[in-house]
Amino acid sequence: MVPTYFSASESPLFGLLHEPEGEARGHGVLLCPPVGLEHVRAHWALRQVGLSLSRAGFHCFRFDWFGVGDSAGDLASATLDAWMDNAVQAAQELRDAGGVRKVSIVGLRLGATLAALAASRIRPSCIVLWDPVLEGARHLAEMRQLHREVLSDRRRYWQAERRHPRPAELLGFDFGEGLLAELERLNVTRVAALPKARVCLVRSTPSTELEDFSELLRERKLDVELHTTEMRARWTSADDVEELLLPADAVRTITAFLERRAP
Amino acid sequence: MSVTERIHTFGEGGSLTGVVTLPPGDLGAAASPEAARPFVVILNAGLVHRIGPFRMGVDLARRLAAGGSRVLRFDQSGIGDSPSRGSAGTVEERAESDGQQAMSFLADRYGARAFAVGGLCTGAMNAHRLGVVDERVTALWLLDGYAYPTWPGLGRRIAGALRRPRSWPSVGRRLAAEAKEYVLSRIGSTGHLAPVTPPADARTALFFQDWPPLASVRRDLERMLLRGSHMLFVYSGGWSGYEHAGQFDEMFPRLPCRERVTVDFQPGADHTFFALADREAMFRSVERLLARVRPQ
Repeated sequence: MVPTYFSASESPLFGLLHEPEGEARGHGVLLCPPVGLEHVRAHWALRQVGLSLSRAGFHCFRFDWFGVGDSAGDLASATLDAWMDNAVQAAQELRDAGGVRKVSIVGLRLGATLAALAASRIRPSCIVLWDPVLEGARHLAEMRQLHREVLSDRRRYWQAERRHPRPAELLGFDFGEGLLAELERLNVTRVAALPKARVCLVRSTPSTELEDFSELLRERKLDVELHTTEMRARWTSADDVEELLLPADAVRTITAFLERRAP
Repeated sequence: MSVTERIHTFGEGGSLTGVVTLPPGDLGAAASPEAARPFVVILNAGLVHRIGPFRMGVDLARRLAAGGSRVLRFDQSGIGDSPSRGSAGTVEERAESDGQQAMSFLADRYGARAFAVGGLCTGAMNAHRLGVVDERVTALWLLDGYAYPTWPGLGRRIAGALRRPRSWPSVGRRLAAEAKEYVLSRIGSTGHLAPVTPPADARTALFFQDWPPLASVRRDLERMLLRGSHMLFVYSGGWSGYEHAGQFDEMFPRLPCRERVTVDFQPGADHTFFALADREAMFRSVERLLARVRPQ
């Protein structure tokens, strides 16, 4: 693993290249993480994806968005446009550092959404959307509900008292009013102009939402697979806000898909 | 001008990964005024990688660097981006070794001679042990570190329970549990578990730590204080072992050099400082500690 900072020096982004073990396929995979609390929960899981794909011969590049993880900035200063630029910059970094021309993308939660939005500029061979956030307004409503549940959890707070979060405070992070407004308007089913890529939808719990989305993509003549994995993600459970995501089944599913479909 | 960050791999076989945050304008030279200040080292909280719960490690590092301190936050082996180095030694011994390798790297690369080491939960326990075995640690900041029940605390709980008649049926059971905890803390390991539910796999072993008996911790504190260390203990209200502002002095009465110990009880905060306002208060406590240990 080779960690690095890349992108503009005033706002460097953190990235880490998993080099292929054994024979290289000459194909790179960009891993797009979630943001905020879900990013913290998913770090270990995406590392496992990176290791698994590198064992399968892929160059794999994990990175952190602006304002997320080890990258510069904070969430309150982030914008969706800047994040999509980050994805394009990270894909270029993968191509340069790995010496690969063909690239696929794996995105998790909001990272999957951003990957879908940036895909037309990256032109991936395959794109894996893992528990993608399809509607920003619904996602924010779930996060706000979860935030309230955490604040009223008497196992967490032994002393009952009224707590006053900051206006844009959500699940341990200040999202900033501007980013919240952008997320509120986000609807990937309306705006995603996915290029001609092979699409793999991965869900950790059965839901009709992704079935509808897969139908939508098929109507757009895209080659789509939908997989349900045995994984206890529980993104909206107050009991799990500090649980690291254990992705074993999803790692196998994603690796098998890319081994099969990434040229 | 803002802080700058550098990614490093260091330690045995270059297997440890960490990020150094430097103050504005600091180029990281070994011979510079910044090198004379204690280098702050942030240890992993449980299994969370080096950014910390809710990214608090990043925020704290940038804030402390903006105030003039150099800071390292890194992944100990088996956590985050630092691969496991096998099962040689206990979890505690590996954490000590990782911490010492980090300090040696900072001494070589940045000219660091003294360190202010700290962390949350298991990070606090690991910082405590590092402070005991390595005299380069001149300051410790421990967030929800060791805490033990006391007789006055037991009395307060009984009185509290008696004021709530509905709780009387469970009082006997709770008192028995409290008494057991009290006795265990005096005679041996408590087998205490961190309150955050860990993943149910082999990595759990990295997270669960036995607590030493109270007398052993007291000896450690005396040893560190007598050699001149400064200490900050921040206890949240969500930590099972700490319930009262005066509990530290009940646990460790008449410590030598007590004036070099600051205890900050934040009863409204939870164990991982979920709320930004609680985190802000904790950050200010750490900043005050560093202001005390900084050479004038």
